[in-house]
Amino acid sequence: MIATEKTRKLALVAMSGGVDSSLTAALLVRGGQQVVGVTMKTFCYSGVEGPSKTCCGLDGISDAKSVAAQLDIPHFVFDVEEEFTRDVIDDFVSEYASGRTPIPCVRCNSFTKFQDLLARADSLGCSWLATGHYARVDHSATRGPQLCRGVDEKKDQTYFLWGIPRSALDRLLLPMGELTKPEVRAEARRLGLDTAEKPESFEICFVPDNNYVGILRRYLADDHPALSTGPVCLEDESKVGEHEGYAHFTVGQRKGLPGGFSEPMFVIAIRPDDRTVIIGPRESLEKSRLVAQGVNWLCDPPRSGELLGVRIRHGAAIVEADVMAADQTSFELRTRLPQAAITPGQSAVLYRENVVVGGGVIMSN
Amino acid sequence: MKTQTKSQRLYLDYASTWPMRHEVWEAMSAELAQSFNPASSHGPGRQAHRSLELARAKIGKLLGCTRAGIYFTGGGTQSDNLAILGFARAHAGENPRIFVSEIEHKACIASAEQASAEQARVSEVPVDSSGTVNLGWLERKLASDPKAPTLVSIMWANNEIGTVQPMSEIVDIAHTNNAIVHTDAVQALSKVKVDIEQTPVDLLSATAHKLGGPVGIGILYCRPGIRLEPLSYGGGQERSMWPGTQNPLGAIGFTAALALALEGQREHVAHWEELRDHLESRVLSEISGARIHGHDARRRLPHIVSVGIPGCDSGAILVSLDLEGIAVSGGSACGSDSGLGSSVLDALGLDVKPPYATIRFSFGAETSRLDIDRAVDALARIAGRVHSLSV
Repeated sequence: MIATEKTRKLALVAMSGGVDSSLTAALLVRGGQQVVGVTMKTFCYSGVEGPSKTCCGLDGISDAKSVAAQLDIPHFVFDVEEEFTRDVIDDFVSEYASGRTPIPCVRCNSFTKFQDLLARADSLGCSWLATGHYARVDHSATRGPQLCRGVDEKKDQTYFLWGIPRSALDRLLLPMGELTKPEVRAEARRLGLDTAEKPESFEICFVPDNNYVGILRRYLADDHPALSTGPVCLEDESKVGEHEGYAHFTVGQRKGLPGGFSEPMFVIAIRPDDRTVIIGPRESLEKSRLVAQGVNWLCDPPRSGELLGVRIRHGAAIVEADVMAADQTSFELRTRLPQAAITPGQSAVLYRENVVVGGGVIMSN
Repeated sequence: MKTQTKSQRLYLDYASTWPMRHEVWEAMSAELAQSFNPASSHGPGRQAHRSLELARAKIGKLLGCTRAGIYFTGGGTQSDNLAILGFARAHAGENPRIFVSEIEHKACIASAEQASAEQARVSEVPVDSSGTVNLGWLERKLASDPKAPTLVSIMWANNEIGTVQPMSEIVDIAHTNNAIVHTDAVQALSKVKVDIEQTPVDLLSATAHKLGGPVGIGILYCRPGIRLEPLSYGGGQERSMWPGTQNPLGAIGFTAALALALEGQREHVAHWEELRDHLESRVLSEISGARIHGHDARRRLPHIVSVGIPGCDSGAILVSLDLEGIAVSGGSACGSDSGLGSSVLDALGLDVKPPYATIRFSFGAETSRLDIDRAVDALARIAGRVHSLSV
């Protein structure tokens, strides 16, 4: 990248302390871009965990800070604990309490990163916001910038980005979308970045040890229905066991169910009203109809009858689906082939070729 | 935006670190090739030992105390820990009490929290809106249990807002009530008169890098006869109070920096007061809603000005100043990694509903009026932009 009009404007880089966002900052700096690094402090459980005042996420902050020092760019910590709790953690808890399986990363992108952080970019006079997401923005598209899948099929993170404001696309720089993960590692090593060897994290940032029920216990009353015993029933409503709280389950889950059936059983549905977890064989999981709400469009909304691609789970294949209806708040699809475990609370993200059309949160059937 | 060059950089963060002064560098360079272990019994070791002890004696003289009371440590935080935790552990089982002010440095607050976890009775001494400790409160509390081993730890001057505490009165009240006094004098030393003979504190922490000396060397003054339990164990160096191979080079740097800072104190203070008044009057008249934290200027450190700007965010202002090559800090540099807000401003009872920017300017010997003008010009412009975007 040569010093053009674009590089003369300031870019704010969201640096988590991981290798992807470290390389994002490094590549922009090398391209002549003037860069400011920021790490969001999203939550802190100190005071709850005991006398240790170690803040959750402090390792990430100090890693980001050392990379910023390596690149000689200003770096600061943006405390978004209040906003993050309101928009991400509270939603996470209430979704589980309602028997759905939320994706907090979608909420964090939709609200914390691409709204709150973008407002921060404004106050710093930064024209650009750059992140380490594996996704691309096509700034040359005639009908406005478009969010596109990253070149690394396995790492593509557009599934988590459908909810960002369409107006933000214009200001996004996502250089990782042009690279594969092995290329990112290799480049980070070549540049000698302090975080080049840092292992990838697959956890939800605010859920230690993947124990999400522990987080729910922290926020919900001990006798909340989601954490209280209830019946496990077959689809004909016959009771086959008890569970310790429906928050432990997600549609499509096999683990933790009563045994003794002739074929593998899966969670088919969660009914918070009477705390029932309904289980059944694999074929009962398979459905074609999907309704999504809380929709966000990153292109003009699709026409009814249009054939699009849909992804219903992170890492799942994009499958063909006919749009039955679509407006500003919801859409309904019918997939060409039945899909196993269309899970309420997860996202349905629509694609036209490589381009993200929009997405929504899957509702109960 | 213009490209930054080194000559355009402006450093106004001396309260975080006073960059090493040339004379200190020279004093240390002369000794650099003589880095031997002062604990060794051979000739080179004896020389290193001699350097260390000369430094100790000189520091004692400059602080108005005996050399036997000076212990070298790794810096201010270590000295604070040794004083507070060392006291608590020395009196474990005797139901000790520890009083720290609400606006202590994190090193003291965290040591006191640890002491509390180890069963010491810890209380926070309230401060008024200027940051001055409430002496009446302290006196009442001390008098309520004069038999218990008691430590009062109050910083001589605050690092974020510069408030200077009435140390002599604190010492009088404490000693009258059978308590001993520790003070973190890291910021106060060489900015106000710190003389242990005149103000007989029992424990005092100081560090070299706030004086134009090297990072990584500090002292704890401990009045002979006061019992502290060491925090680590080893070969008996520093009379077992802070064991580990001693650092004569650091001690030389500390001594050179302290001597130089005290020698220039009168002149520096007059210069800083002028800069401070200029900065404060420009900030108050040119930045809407801006305030200066702490009480009237005569009872604050001369080289620190803490500016509050409601409706603006600290991070945005600090980074924008940094991009223009101007180095200042938010409250304290020590809290900036964690992104924590300032507990000092909370303790003052200020209405600091976010967004609320705190910008700390601090001066050194070389700071000029032109520097202040450049910083205020930039701050006024940046605050205007940040403010219009956050409301």
